[in-house]
Amino acid sequence: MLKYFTSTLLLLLLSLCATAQLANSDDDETDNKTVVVDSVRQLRFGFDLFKPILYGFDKERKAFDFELDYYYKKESYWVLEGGWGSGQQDSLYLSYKSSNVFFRGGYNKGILTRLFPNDWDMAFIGLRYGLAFIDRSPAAFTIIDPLWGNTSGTIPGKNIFAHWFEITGGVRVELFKGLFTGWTVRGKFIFNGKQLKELPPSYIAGYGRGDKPSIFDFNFYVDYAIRWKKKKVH
Amino acid sequence: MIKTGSKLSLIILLVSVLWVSCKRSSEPCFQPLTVDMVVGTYKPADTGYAGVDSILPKALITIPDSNFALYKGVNQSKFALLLSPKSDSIRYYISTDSTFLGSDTITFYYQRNLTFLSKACGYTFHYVLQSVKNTYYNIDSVKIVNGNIDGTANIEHVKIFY
Repeated sequence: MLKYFTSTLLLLLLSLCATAQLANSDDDETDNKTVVVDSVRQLRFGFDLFKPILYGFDKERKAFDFELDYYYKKESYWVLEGGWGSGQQDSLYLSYKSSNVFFRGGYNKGILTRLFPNDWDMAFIGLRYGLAFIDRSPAAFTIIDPLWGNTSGTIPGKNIFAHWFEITGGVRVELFKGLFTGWTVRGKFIFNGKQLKELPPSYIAGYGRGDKPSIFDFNFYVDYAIRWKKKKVH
Repeated sequence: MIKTGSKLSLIILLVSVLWVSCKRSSEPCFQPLTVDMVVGTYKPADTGYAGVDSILPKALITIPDSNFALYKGVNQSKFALLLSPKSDSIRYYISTDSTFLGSDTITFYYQRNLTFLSKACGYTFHYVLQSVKNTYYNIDSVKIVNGNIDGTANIEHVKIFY
């Protein structure tokens, strides 16, 4: 747990280093830029490319992860994420599958100073609350015993609810007008790990390994953003 | 806005995260898959059931139903016996001097509990010892001191007094 916490902290520090390099001491200028940009709204939709690549290497972990964020004001973004996936455990002793959908909601705070009003590149830190609805298949088990002979059986399937808390950090870079790419790192801490003690899902899409109470995760998103001007209120 | 610093951090991050994330989720099983019932042999003492260790000179312990000898001519006072996951009781022949003459029969009655070990190791049986019956050729009495047989280390479950 400490390892993941330290990794998350280090990555956040890296992001802060980037901020420090680029920090503008001219507060008046910053305020002007924020005022100008706060007259604009942005909605951004993205897809995590990293998880399907990972599935190519490890067929036990499958996930599709999408994000939607909305620029509110003062470098604040409301974020909604979701997706689905599956995992499987297949060994001599135990064999079962699981599938789930997940949702995460939260907030990102941009920590870089804009170089110009229409500069949408960002580094951020954020918080998330995540939940997953998991369907675990019946589990077939075999107890290997050379003296008495093997014992086999089946444990019935189960529907499980899991929820967790995340600390996030990352960057988004606008490559072309409206087209972004960037990464998000996540330190995740599950609330109801006890429920997953027996026959934990091999992989919970949106969270990670079901038998870990805390976990480090990574996404590499490609996003498309649309922007519009806020209506003036007289 | 995002300059060299964050590009470098992105590369470092990608490499480290790929390494962490690409580790396979399947792990080998390193836990013992069966649990033993630990039996100690004693001579009665004034301290009641505490007893005094009594080393059997040439212990012979067999399972009559399977003709399997767990111990053959050993000189010791602690024995790890196995319970059967296929039934709710098991009989053992226990002889102190490696002959069947005057050997005692002990029957252990227990409850089997299917127990999850881990994703890597699957399930095993843990047991709750409920009662013991024995013959009295050499044995004076048998006492269950800890009925939970769950693989906990350094626990003696049964005391046999000679």
